[in-house]
Amino acid sequence: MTSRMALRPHDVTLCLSSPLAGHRHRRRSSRVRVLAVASSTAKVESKKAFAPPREVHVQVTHSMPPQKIEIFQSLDGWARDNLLLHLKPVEKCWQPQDFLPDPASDSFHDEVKELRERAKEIPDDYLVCLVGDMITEEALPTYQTMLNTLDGVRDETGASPTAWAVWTRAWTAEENRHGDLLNKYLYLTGRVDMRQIEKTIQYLIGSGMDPRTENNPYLGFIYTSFQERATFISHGNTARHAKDFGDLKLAQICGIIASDEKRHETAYTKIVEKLFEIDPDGTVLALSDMMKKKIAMPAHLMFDGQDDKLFDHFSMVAQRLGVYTARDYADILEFLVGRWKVPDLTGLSGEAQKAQDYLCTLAGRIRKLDERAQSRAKQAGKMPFSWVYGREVQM
Amino acid sequence: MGTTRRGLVSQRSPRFRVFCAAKPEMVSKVMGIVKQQLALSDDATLTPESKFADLGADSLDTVEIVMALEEEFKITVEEDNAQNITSIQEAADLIDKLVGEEGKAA
Repeated sequence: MTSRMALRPHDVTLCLSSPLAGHRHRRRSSRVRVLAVASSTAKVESKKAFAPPREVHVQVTHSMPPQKIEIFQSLDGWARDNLLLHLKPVEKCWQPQDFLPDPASDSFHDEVKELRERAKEIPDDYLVCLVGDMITEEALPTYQTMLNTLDGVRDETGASPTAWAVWTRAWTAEENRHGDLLNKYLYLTGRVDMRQIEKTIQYLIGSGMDPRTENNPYLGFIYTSFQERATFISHGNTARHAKDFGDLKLAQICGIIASDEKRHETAYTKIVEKLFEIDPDGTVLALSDMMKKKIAMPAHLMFDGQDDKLFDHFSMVAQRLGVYTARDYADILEFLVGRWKVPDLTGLSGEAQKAQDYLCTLAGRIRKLDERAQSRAKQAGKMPFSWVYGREVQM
Repeated sequence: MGTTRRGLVSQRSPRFRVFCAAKPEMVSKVMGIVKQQLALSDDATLTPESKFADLGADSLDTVEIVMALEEEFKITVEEDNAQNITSIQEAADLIDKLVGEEGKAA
């Protein structure tokens, strides 16, 4: 993996997105409040050729003190009244078929032909971003799992009636349409190697992800808040690009997905807002902890059987096209710090105040790093992507 | 490491620059920058061997330290070199080397 220090824009993103800050063994700083008993050391397993990259953190679990589980139980009523209203009733929801050629219709073949004509105008680098996004969406089983690792809010049976469990299932159901829609659309374009993509998805779901949320819903909901906003921004950007390329249907698709993400972002940030209200100390420390560990992208373990650095390469393209950048990372952080009124928190413990200070200056530091990286950016090469039949894409 | 100034002068040939332990002033300048970056108090005890990570630096701090050193000493740190800077002495040694190279190039 490339160095952090080169400060290329992509490196800034990596620096900021990977929990594995370079292949260095990094013991967690003693200044950061250790929420767990064990310290976490990042190790990279030595891989056999062509094995999917796997990061092996010492898995820290159940870092939330057990007495705080009650908080979430007591918030069940609040969640029912304030969280579930951000779900859309199924009858009012869009479905993938609404945006795809209708197989039951006589004009199906013409519609597919039109779709393929429009798709011809889409350049490979943009397609790579779209495919990466689609693969991320298709790894949904991992995300539902991740939500169900969280203490106090997990779906204990698969049909638990708690408001939290209802939310998780319904959220998953809404997200499920995103992967389905993008998958079918990309399939019909004929521009991408579906088999390679499908293989990547299989690898990714098999690899899972390690956002280091430690079964801790404070960490978990902070993570999802960040992620939903990130996907909102990313899909919004791909929508805009599609419009520029003249594929209005694709622009609509990305746009409708982005609007879901926005709604989900509202819901998750509301949960964390509530946590700040009832436990400002614990929540600000949790936010600081997640930012220090860096928000890992959900698909950072992606592998297609060929490219050992697939996620890096995909990220570089996304950075260059402005689909998702280090700047976006800083913007999201700044937004959340504002949304949760972090600077205005009072009555914090000494440690929490340090966390508050850290958070209030962090976005600026990241931006400075990124500016410097941009000004020293060297021209990166081209890379073949198996998702587009090995065609080369500028990174 | 830890050679005295007298020791350096007597050992080194004046004709070529040997890559050896950096001078104490260099080390103390680096210490100053590190203290500032990590908001350590003036009387915090640092040694040349002090590792940034042990002083509480996260990866962002380390990058910023390198950036500050670049500005202070008017050098450019390449990727590969930067990877190897994990302690004060390593930073000082690298700066020494780069300053020496830039001096020759000028």
